Amino acid sequence: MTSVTTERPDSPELAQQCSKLFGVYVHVPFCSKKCSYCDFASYAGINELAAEYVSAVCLEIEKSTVESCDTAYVGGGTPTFLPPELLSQLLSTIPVLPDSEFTVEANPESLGEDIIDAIIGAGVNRISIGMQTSVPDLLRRLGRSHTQDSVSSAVELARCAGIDKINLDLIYGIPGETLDDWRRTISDALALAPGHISAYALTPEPGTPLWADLDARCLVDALDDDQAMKMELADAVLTREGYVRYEVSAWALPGQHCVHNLMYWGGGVYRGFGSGAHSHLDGRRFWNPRHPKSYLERGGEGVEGETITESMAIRDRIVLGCRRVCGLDLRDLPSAAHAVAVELEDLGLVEVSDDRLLPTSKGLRLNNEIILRLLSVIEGEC
Amino acid sequence: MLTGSNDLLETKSIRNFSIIAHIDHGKSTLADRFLELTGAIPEREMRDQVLDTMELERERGITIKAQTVRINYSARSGSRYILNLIDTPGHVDFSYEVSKSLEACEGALLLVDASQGIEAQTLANAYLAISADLEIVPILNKIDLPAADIEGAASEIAGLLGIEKSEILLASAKTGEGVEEILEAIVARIPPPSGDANAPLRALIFDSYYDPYRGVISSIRVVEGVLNAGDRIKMMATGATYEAEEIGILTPGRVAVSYLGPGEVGYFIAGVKDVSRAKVGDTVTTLNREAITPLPGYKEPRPMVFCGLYPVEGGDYPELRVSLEKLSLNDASFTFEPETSKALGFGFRCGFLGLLHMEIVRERLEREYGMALVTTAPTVEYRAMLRGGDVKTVRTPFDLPSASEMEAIEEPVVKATIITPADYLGAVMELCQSRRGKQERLEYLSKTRVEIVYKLPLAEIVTDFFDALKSRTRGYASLDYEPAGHEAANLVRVDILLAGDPVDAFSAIVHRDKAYEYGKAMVSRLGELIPRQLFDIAIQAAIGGRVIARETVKAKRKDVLAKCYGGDVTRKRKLLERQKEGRKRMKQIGSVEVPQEAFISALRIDS
Repeated sequence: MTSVTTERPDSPELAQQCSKLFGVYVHVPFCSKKCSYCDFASYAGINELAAEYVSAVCLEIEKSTVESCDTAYVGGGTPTFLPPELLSQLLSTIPVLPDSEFTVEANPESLGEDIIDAIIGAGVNRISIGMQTSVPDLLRRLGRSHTQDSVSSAVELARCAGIDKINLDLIYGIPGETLDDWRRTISDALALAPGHISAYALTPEPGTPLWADLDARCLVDALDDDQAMKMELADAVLTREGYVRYEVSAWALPGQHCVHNLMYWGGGVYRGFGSGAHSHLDGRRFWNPRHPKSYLERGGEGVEGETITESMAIRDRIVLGCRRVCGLDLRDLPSAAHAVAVELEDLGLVEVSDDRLLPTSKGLRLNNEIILRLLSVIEGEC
Repeated sequence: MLTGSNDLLETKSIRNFSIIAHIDHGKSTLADRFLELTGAIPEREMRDQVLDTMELERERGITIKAQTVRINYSARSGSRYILNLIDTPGHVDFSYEVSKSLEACEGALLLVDASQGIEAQTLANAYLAISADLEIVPILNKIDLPAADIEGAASEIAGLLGIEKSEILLASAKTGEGVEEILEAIVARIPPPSGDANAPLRALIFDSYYDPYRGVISSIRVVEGVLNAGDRIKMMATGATYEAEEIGILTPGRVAVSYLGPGEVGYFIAGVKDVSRAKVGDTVTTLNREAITPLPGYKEPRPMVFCGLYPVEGGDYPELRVSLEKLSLNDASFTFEPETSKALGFGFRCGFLGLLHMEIVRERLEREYGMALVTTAPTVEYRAMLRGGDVKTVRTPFDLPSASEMEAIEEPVVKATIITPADYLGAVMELCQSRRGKQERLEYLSKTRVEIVYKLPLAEIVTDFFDALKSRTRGYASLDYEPAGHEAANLVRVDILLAGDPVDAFSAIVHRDKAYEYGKAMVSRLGELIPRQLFDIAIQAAIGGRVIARETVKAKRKDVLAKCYGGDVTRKRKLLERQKEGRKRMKQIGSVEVPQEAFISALRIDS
């Protein structure tokens, strides 16, 4: 079930609808190399496991009770890094319905004709391409080896093949990036007329080279301020061009929102397959082992998880829902939260209207403040 | 055996002596050798430095608590002697205890490390011994070391005491060389005590120690009269009376006896509950035949250095109080009284004899009692002369009256003696001058070592003076100081304000010339430690109402996770949980959230 094509991406009704859908997520952990900022469950140099891995995931899907889904998302790693036959094998096992949203993540340099064929053949109707930045020096700094040309080629190829829903992933706040660099990236992305743009602030993660460079408070402060400014800039430009922001990092033309993500952010249920994949089902959250080797060894046994109590569910709702432009329905929250809502409104972080708590632009930038204050009046652990 | 006999001990076979030495010059090792040689402790019980009982002392290699031991010595002449070694604390903070221990003696061994020469503390204590009219037996120790400069060190000592070099004994406590000669010299050179056994009892308390099982055990030197077990006794300074349940000698283990006569050194146990009731320097007499005048020189211990001690967790306050009470059972010179800080909550203002004393107490609280503490910067006791004539004692910055209420303010000063290699003389003088010091004397002890005396404000010493001195002289300089009264000074209180509200815990009394520097440093440090919040935060340093330094922590503009990691909610939760924990460790000061670390960090003594 997909949404009405002219629906505003930030509409509360849309969010509500999507939160009731069922999704499937499949993880492909292989990459040609590790980017400098990456802390996802992805690995370079273990390609020899690919065939075994794909078989194992297909088996996991077949053995599960999942017969169909409203949305399916294949992420990684780099799904398109798989050899076309393996990708085909994997995609065709996923139990999508004719009008499911079916997304595959792609690297610009690996979206060749044979991969596109494999994708189309399986019924994929949405592609998410990692463009990141169009400034060559910055791309290199991120450890990426593609070019902006390869991005345009990939978009063109996908369109010609009939995929009309395209997302471009962008990253801002890269060390050395000027405001003009970011403007240029946005403009180059817009030139490709994607239906959806996700723009993420580069977050130095412990253990990555980027983290080691930020060894002084003033450097951290400067990065935060730079990213705050660039986030505002992105919103201004994209909004002017007709995109509608519907989450902290997500903008879409009407009808081009990502249903799968709206399902996540609305606390929907989903089943994850493959290494490191998470599931939310039957009042439980559970996840597979992170490393593909462990995933293969365990063979589906001893999966870690937790039961979601009522209080945990409320907390998750806050943690996920506050990031949406359509915010939260106050009627779903304990009354103590209403006092916090007033406080947040005074601080200019939210607007309260029609029983909804709506983050302002400032509130999206300082979203943790909203979340932490709301959580503080809910019992229990985060 | 001389104890337990019906005749009083012949005073002429007694020798009471102490060992004066700088830290690490071998006093404890020598004491161990005496014990070994005279069979006082079986070898298998021998541990290095037997007389140092506290673990802290062991670790730092210094003697804090004094312990006394009676040694039976058979001299070469065949006569038998009782040698009472009265061990003395080795640090400047405890000079009162040192002088009381010396008063219990007739002589003192002056021990100097032949590879180091005379140090400030040796000098200070030597002067104390000389003014107590003690017979000094000079000894050069560690002669076995390759770096030993026997000639040079001997000249220094000879010059100091005005004696011939030939009078100086040479020894190595470590190898045992010369130790027997020392024992012979004690017998030959140090005079025996004298005292009328028929006079009313007067005994000097020179140490008191609290034992959890027996109560206070006090070490005494009987000056005249006789103390019998079971006597009803009276402490002359406090007027308190007790029954001497048990009296005895220290071998070093306690051995009970039925009486102690003039010239003898021993202990008594009288059901005393804490050491403040059996004070060092006090005179013990008997109730049925009271002495008329006490022994001279008794002084109430006076704290010199103060700091605030606060529990990190407010809920630990009662536990802190109990720990302080337990500690004070064994430390009559450590004072504490309740204090409140708007910033830190409930705590105590504590008084110590000096920085080392404070360090020791703090460490014991943390280690033995498991307390997590915030310590405010050490302060001294000022005297504010108010208009209208009254004098107000100021122990914390908040007590300082305003400028309009005061005529003048006085601060305690000390006379500091520093001994340094001549190479570093310039650096030492520069350091002292930068701490408002006035040079009083400069003397060359030898071609390469200088003794320099400065009058310095105590406030300048209690922060990091000692460390600065050590680092500028590569560790070679030594320091000793004694109170030298109070002097007027141009002092002001610097307040630190957060978002316009003064934070009492950060206030300090500083010299006007240093106020700006202090204010700037505090403001800058806090600017680093206080996290960005939803509003700009002004951090200001001010004197009276006037701002002298300022920094702003700008409002944060971004506080959001970039990605939501798709279906992985646990990851988001973890990150937020960490943030939430961080917030819990904040103390709300007015409208500003200040992390616990900021208090600890900004107020650290050693920063």
